[in-house]
Amino acid sequence: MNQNNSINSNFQENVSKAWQMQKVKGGSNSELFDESKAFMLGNLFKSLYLPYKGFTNYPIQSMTNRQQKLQKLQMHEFSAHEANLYLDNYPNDKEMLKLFNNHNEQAKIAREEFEKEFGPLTVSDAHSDQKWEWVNHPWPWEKQ
Amino acid sequence: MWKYDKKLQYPVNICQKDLKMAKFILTQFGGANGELGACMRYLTQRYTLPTEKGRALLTDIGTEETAHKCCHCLYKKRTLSR
Repeated sequence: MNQNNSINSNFQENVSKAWQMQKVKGGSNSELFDESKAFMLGNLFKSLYLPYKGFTNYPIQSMTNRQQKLQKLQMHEFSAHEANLYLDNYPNDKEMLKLFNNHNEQAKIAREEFEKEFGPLTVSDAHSDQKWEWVNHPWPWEKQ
Repeated sequence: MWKYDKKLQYPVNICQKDLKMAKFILTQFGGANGELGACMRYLTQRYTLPTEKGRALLTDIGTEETAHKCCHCLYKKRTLSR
């Protein structure tokens, strides 16, 4: 219980610290994880990352070509998404806008690469004139 | 208003059947503090928010909560079978 409390207050402190830094600098937090670490830890912002009770994350290993291509897309999309949520609060942060645009662009490329080999990820990308591919396996909840 | 991707945000690999875990996960689905309630809360509160930033943020995170429900279904399905 005590440990929980201290973790909690520590977290609050870090959030407010990050918040203060924003106000002072008026710019984005330069302390960001790169896209692969951010993806692994589930957090783009170093000052907001709080390890869960001694749990250590491990790098995600992709076993197949499909997993590898998908992971590249997921990685860039995750960082873009983090930037998205941040920008909702700080819409004028140029540095973060640049980061968002960059990851968004990379994600687009990764998506095209994946879809070329493994079929559409959104229904609007299903443009085969031979067969309706949208019904094909695997769905996200199925083992792939 | 929504589109969906035929993929997960993060890879999941559950190899073992675990009924206890499945039961626990199910408790986080509904109820006052569950994902279902959270997503509906964000997505209805956004209509009356006074600022543009707030409306955007609540739409974004409401969508995220909706996606968490899918996670639930996935974890539940995987922990129940195989």
